[in-house]
Amino acid sequence: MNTIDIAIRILLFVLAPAFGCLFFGIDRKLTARMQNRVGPPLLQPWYDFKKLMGKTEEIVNHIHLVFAFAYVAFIMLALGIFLMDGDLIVICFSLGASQVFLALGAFSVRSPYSHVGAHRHLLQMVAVEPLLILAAVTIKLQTGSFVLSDIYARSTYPFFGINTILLLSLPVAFFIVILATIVDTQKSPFDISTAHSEIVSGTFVEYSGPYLAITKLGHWFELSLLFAFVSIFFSSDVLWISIAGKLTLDFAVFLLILVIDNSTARLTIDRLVKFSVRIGLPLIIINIVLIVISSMGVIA
Amino acid sequence: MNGTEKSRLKSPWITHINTGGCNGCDIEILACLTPKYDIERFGILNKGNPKHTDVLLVTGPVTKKYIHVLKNLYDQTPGPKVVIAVGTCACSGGVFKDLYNVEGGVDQVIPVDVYIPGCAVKPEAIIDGVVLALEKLKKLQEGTWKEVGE
Repeated sequence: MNTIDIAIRILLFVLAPAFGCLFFGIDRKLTARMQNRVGPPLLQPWYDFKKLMGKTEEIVNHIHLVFAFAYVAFIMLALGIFLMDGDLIVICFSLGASQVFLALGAFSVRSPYSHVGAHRHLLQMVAVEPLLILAAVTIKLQTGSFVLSDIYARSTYPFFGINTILLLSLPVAFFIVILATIVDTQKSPFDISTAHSEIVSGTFVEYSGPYLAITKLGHWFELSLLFAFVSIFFSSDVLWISIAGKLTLDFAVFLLILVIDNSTARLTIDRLVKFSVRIGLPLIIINIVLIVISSMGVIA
Repeated sequence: MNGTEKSRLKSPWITHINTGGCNGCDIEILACLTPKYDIERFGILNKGNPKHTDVLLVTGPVTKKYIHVLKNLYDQTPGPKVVIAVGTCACSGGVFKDLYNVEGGVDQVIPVDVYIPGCAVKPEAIIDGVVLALEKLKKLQEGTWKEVGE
């Protein structure tokens, strides 16, 4: 890696929350348009963030805040590893750790809403994290490595002369990553742990003012990380095709998530777990078995 | 006016509290969220959680049982905050004034910034009231607001 390469990576890291902020802005605007409303300005999440930073601090207890910062720190760590082309498994576990800290923070206060949110958050992790890790395993089986730089280099799948499109060889893993993105961005039908108006805002109910803003910042980073995860599924040895493909893929997934969010109602937590165990898990196991069989040369 | 102060005016999150009214004003508040009135275009979100709230919309006359709840909710709201009394009952107690179980208007319990009369209030009036409350917040920030009689 040369200096310019590292500079670009650092720039991407700094721009990651801006991307997350813009995502939620576009999300709110498009949702409003889909409901035939005018909707807030595009930079509304930024105004919310600034406002929250300027509010007076009301602290429930200090450990609550430590967990909030730990959540953000582990998300930033995961994104940092991703941008330095690190190990996919480490990224998955770092993401998982951040979610655990979020749940622990919600458990550290006495609000029953917060506790319900934390319980749901843990169950949601049980449903989604194994799928995400198995998706990483399918990528490993296909490309021979968990390390991103090797994945980019080795994921060979000939398609119109472009060398590397994981999307076509691993459609099931891609589906699972989209599912994880919907769950982790708290979109319908899986906005279970922060269900607004049902359990107010679940895990975030006791955070207020600047500390709520910090968790929002973490959420922006998380979103960037998930979309970065989606973008693994398209890479090419030609730089501009690679970048254009990644952006197109991210945008398509973004629109898909928005449409799903606006056209579905919230499910209960056991429906998410059932969905994950009955549909997600068998699908990805079938995918793994197929890859193993084809690599042994039995078919194809 | 710096960025934070500008943001405050662009993102007032509301919580509506019914202190013992007939639910008429609450329905009108919820009507503001519908596509016809669309208060989200001002950045207003209905949070239902005092800890995330900037604007408290209080409806109904304050019953004696509800006094400590209202005080508690007010104290849990981090500042800067504004309180809006929505509806005639919240403004003065309305037809329930001087009832044995009613304390009176909201201003008997917590300081109120804006009064919106009406039975029930029109959604347009609620939007006007919130905008007026933001105007007050702006002037408070600039230090130019003078209470009547000061």
